[in-house]
Amino acid sequence: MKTKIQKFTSFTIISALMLSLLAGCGGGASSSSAAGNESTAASTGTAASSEATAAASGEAVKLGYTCIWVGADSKAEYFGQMVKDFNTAQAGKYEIVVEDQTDYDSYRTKIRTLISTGSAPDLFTVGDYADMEMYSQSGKLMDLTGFLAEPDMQGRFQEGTLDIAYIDGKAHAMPYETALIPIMYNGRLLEQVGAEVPESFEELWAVCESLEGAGLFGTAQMTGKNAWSSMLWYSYALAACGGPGICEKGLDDPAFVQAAELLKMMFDHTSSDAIGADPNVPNGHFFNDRMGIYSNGTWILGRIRSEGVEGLYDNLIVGPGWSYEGKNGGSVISAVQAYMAAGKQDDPVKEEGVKEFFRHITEPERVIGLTNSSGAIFTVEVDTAAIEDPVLAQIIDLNGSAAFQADQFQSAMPVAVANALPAAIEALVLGDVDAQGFVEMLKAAEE
Amino acid sequence: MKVKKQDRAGIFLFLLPALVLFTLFFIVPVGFVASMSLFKWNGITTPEWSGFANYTRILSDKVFWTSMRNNVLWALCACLIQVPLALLMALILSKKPRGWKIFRTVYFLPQVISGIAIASLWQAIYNSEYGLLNGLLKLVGRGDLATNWLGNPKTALTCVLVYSLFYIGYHMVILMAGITDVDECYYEAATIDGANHIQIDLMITIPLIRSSLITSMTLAAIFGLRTFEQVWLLTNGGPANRTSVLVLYLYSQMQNNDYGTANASSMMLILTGALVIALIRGLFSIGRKSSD
Repeated sequence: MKTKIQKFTSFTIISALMLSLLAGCGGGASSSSAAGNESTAASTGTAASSEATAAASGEAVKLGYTCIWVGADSKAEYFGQMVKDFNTAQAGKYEIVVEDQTDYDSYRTKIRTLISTGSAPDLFTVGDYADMEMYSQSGKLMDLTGFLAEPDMQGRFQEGTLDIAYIDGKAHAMPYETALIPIMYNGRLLEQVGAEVPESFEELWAVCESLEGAGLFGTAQMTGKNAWSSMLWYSYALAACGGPGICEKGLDDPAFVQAAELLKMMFDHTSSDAIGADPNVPNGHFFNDRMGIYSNGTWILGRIRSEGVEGLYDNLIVGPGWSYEGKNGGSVISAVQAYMAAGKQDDPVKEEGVKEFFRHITEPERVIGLTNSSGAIFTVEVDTAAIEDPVLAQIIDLNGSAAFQADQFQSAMPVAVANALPAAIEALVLGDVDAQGFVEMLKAAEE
Repeated sequence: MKVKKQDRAGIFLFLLPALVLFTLFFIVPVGFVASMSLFKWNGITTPEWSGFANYTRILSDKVFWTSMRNNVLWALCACLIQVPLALLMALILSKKPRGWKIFRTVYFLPQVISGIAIASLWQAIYNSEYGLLNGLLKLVGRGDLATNWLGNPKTALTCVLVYSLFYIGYHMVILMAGITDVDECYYEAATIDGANHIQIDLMITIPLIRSSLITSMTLAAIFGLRTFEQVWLLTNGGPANRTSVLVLYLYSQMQNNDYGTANASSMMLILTGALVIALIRGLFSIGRKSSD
């Protein structure tokens, strides 16, 4: 009898557990089926039905925005306000719902996963050309070709900046943030050692030696993470050796080997902690008057002003790229830093909401505000006289008068090549490979 | 104990939820990874069949073999240094000397502190310009030994391994739990027979906590093979891939949008893990047979 009771109790408990498990599945199934119905409705429904539903319920059409410009990002505050302003202006019609993502690597992984699983966010940003190209070819992004061809939209952008967005004649992303990356000098340190701003690589070595003579470091280098600082110097060396559009010529061009030799020489004039260093290392040296020559995008200006030693910002000198053997001087690195994109919409109302948001964030007055608050520069044509920061204005002028636009290696090369660069630089500097071997390492990644 | 026929259905029903979850969240994903390792795939567009090309590519890649060698070193270091150190601490603290609770907490502390915080601390210690280690060397008149510890190919891997040794608290707790289970009567008998502390530890405690030691060793080897965070935070596999490990290798393939190769790397990692666990179990079973 006792055994029977035990068996009955066991059976009841197991049945309850199984039922609860199945109930969970059932719940999931019903909710997913509900979601499925919703998406089916969206795909088969018309704009009128969506609008009617939204109007009837008095609710705005919600657009999810997976946003990286949040948290400590220099654009976070002003851009957040731009989103709020949009929601206020479009109250009852559209509402942008921001999902914060603060880490760039996680952001990239998340966007890629969402797109590959067919659930691309309504709005998001793409950081580099290679990803933008891949996503554009996935067929899961909203086609912006017609929208960007509208005269009103075309007129907002600087000449030629939209061209990069077209892949096979179609645009699936809107170039938005630009990187302008000049060479920066600590004017006070140069004066201290009696050096002038160099105009060529040949002059650079002399300046570096003067700085080192005073116990200072020459150029800012780092090979950790994405080797950002050293990647920029390699980009400038490539521009000096190969001229404009060098990255398009491919890794077989001798300029890649020559530039590697120059980069190796630059490592003879840097701090001892450059190998394996993350951005904090070169930033720390430059911000604290320990290093004379540095390169970074305009977004760093705010940090130089707030974190740099007293007087650093006021004595900052910006200049273009150096020449090599009397050629290809005066370049400035520029690249699209962020593209705005949207997931493919089956609902025309949502599609219109996306376009409305893109119009909102490309209004020149707003873009000027965003530039002034963050130091970032955008593809939208603005009145440069309205830029408050004198150094930023100087960089924009420098770009305007640049001999040519230098390729930014990371943006211009395939992802695998850009990712192979840090290890290749380390191998070059540590003597594992020579300049030719360095290029071979990049080629191996390309294959 | 022999299972009765009528009990089998009950046992099966009890196991079923775990089996379902295991299949859903382990077997199916591993099957997916295994199948996708035979395709060229960027994670977005349609995968293209490539057969064993991804495996061929991996096996001919020097970085893969460096990563594999480093993983073996990690696993060996964990089993042969980390666990013995944890055992030593566990044996000492089990005797409950003065302040043992404080020491137990201190040794376990790295487990509960963010890896990023600890890595930043070690980066500051190893930095060549303002690091504590070089500072100390200069202080004792050995400034000639100062170097960029994490950027020097001769020292980078050792430095990362030294940093990992501070994570002994986890194994120490497992072994302390094992020691607590040892019956006091063995110790009383040994004390009466005149055994000293070292003899008691070597002849009684260690043999009796054999299962805890096997668990610790197996876990240490698995953690060694799965190492990612510490290397990624301290060196990101550098300098020139000298400290790369398998998980970092497959992560870099993912960063390159090369999911086919990343999946093939995952399969290699799973196979290596299975091999190492089988090896450890084999070694312990040989040891048990010879001691029997």
